[in-house]
Amino acid sequence: MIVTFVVVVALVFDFTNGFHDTANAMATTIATGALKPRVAVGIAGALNFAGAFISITVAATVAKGIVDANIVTPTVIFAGLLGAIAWNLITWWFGVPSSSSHALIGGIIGSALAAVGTKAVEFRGILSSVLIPALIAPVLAALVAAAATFIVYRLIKPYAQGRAERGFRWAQIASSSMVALAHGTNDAQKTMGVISLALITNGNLKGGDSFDVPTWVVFCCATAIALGTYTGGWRIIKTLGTKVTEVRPPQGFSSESVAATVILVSSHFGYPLSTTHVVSGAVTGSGVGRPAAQVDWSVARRIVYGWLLTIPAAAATAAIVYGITDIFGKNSAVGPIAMTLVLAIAGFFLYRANKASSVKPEDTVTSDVFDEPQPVNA
Amino acid sequence: MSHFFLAADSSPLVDWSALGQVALISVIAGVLIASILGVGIVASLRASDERGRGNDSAALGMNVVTGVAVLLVAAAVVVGIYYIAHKG
Repeated sequence: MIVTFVVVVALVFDFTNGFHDTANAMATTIATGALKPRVAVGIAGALNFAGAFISITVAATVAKGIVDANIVTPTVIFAGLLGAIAWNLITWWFGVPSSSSHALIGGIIGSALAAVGTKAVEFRGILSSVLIPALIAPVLAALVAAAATFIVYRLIKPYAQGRAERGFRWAQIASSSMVALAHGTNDAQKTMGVISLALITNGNLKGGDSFDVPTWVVFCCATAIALGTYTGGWRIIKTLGTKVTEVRPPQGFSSESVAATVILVSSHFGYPLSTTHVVSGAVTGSGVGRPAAQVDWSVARRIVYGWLLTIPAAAATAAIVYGITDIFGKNSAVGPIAMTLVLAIAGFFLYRANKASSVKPEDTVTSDVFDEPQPVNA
Repeated sequence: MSHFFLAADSSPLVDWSALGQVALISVIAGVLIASILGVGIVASLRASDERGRGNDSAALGMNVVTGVAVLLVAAAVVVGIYYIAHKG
């Protein structure tokens, strides 16, 4: 019974992961007018769906090296997922592009701490797999994007802005599509890993080093992340595309191509960095690299605060959820049912509040993208 | 300095060599891809200008540069898809 709730809640997490991270691939493409908002999220959704099928490298490593695998039970996973969903919804509401992967890791850490105590947590693994890459990713992406943007603007300096930008709009579609595809392979697999882990701990799936993820799990995860992506987290898209810095097409292309490069290279060398951290760093860097552009450092600071809070906040929520479910008994389904109801009610009220103060797709486009051409260095 | 990052089990906490390679390749590839496309777009603009002046051979040359730049960026996209499909 509990495992059914884990599967459902994991798919809800996958959905929130999708709409939370649409901005990673498409914020700059939408902001510069390279694609219409609905078309952009449609492409991102399709590529996330495809990405989930491209690489079936088992992602059951979500909690590996982070918590003691022997203490992971369906209830621990359930509470961890709820903590991650709660943080994803809070950061989406405030338009903060935070890492869904870090939220999931924080959630699992919190529920494991609540279940067993500090001995369940592998602090060394957290430091080497989560914290150090989290420090390096945005800085590296920002520096490379700043350099790439600076060079591109030196090249196109003699030409009128609108004329030179047209080609970059087309190129942006390719660079952002790469980020969307990479996101689909990375993030959909995390949920596949979580569901597989729950099925193994419940005895529904044979474990071992090389187990097969059931096809229905792959299909459900791909569908959930694609639908979430298509829903479009407009609040975060607005932050990343228009608030950090005013993004022009050459910047958009530079930041997205650099983000795709950093993500793929680091993944190849065994450092799976957060897509959100890399893209946010690259967009900020592109603002630094473009002559006469300004970065709103107060927005950048708010994003960094969100990153710092992600793991502790998701962990605290997950620990509370675990504590409440535990009241009803370790293997009782009553706790998960009650908490799923609480989540559904909270989701309903959030949906209603969002309807009242909604950020619309057209709010995510930089206001003057279709204005008359001006000199690049104006 | 690196011993600072060695933990009790003596294996390095961070593989600085791999991390250095990540940084180096990211810098080279990231800057190169954006620059190549920038050169391609500038060549396309110059081709248009040369054509306007009636200088067709120069325009053709610039269009070749644009074509090569687009092909190189397309090749980078193919390499990226290959790495996505064969990761891990």
